Amino acid sequence: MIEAKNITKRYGDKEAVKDLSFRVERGEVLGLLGPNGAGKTTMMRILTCYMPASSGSASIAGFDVFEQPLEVKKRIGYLPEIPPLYKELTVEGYLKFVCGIKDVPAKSTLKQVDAACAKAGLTDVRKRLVGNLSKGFRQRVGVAQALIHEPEVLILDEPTIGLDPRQIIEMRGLIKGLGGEHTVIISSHILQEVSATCGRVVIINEGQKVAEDTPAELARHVAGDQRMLARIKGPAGKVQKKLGAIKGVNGVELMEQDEKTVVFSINCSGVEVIADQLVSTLKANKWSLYELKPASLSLEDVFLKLTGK
Amino acid sequence: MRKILLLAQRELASYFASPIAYILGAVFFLISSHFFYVILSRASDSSMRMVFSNIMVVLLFIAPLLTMKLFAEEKKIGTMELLRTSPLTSWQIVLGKYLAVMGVFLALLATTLVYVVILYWVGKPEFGILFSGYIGLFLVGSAWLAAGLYTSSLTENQIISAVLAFVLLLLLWVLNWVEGLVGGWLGRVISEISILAHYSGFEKGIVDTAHVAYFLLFTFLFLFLSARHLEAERWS
Repeated sequence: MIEAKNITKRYGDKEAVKDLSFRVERGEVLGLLGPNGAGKTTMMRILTCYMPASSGSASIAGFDVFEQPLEVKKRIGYLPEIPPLYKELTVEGYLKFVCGIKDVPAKSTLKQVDAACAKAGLTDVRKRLVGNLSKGFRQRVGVAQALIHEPEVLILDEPTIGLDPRQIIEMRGLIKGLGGEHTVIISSHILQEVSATCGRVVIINEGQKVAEDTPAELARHVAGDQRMLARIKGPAGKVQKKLGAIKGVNGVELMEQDEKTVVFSINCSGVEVIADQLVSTLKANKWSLYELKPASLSLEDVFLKLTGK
Repeated sequence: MRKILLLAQRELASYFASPIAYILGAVFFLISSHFFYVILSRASDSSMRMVFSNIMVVLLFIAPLLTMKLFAEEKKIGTMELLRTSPLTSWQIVLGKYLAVMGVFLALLATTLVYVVILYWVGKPEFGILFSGYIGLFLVGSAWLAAGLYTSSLTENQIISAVLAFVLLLLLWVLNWVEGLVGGWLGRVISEISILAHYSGFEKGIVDTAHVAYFLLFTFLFLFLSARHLEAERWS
């Protein structure tokens, strides 16, 4: 459905995207994951015909983004990084306008506006001015705008940015639901985000593809060793020694220390392997456990692992 | 065509959703009414010739302010990204915006019809001269707004857009002053480019197709440049 072949984009001397290739099959949800400035937005702008690549080719639904931009544009819905909103219009007026420029027949405009409002959770604010909406609602209007003509392909640039936690969960649900019917690409710099919504992830860094896999595979690949953070009340040196002796623990690192407690980072093959022994060790020494949580793998960790630096 | 009208409609609504159209309209009407009153009471002449010249000067200041937001604003707030990733051609975007600003301009021009009514009330103006004067004003306005639309497409800063448009219009206005200095065929060419030389006939009641063609060409040129610039911008 979407195919990018050896895309390179240069801004002057700087290469924002370097020789990037990937495919997205019909109905798939692909995540473009990378830190800020990795080239995600640039890649999306190339796919949406906003700007041409310096070299390489891309096609959507069989139409080349460079040769047949109008055909491509008819088939895509795009949510840019900043939702493109006209503040002086009402939500409904804005969506009707978008219907008009996206070739939705006049007859079905109202039906499509209704459907998009329902999907994006905008039904209650339809009559309000876009300019008076909160950031979360504006983001949703942006999503509704991308969905409104039921495009085959949806390209969403950081769709959950600026939303509160509840809205993020709703938005993830919405994006998941889009797969199957639509082919979706979302970008994000948050690992959990893409694992929650995408069937496949392409990780890019400095414009280059670092890895491509399913979220589960990536997590397994990256997190061969699991890291746990434990906040323990006890003498730091002794605790570290004892913890290190537990079977399954590959290393204990002192992370931080205050008057009462010490935080250790424990490298182990899995929390289930060490949990029992950890608790009994602490109990035997009369040390208290204040907190035990998995250290979430940050994107930086993923890159370090994947690039082997 | 449906899309052009839709774009124009949205643009027009945005003019009237902000105070800009009202303020510019009020300023235009105030100043041109002042000129009308002064000229009518001093000259005791039931024609609009002098009034039209003065309205032209007011338009010179107002046209850049009308056009400055057209592209600059959309670039700034990011809606250009919506337009450029929708199935629209550059020409549709340009013409939609141009139609909208022409709509505002016609509304401004319509306010001056009050003077015509007053003239008919107090005297016997000649319809033909009035009519050709309006055609002239309309053509000048069309050309200037097209130029302003173009400068707006160059930047995302509305003030820069307005200043560029003003400088461009002013230069084109006074270009014929250098005719005497340069002389020869070059002087002739320069004065032919100037707006003033092509406008003066309309005030006298002459609708010369050569001059009409000049303004239409002027308008088309800048609309064309705007559309080309939108295309070219993708490459930057």
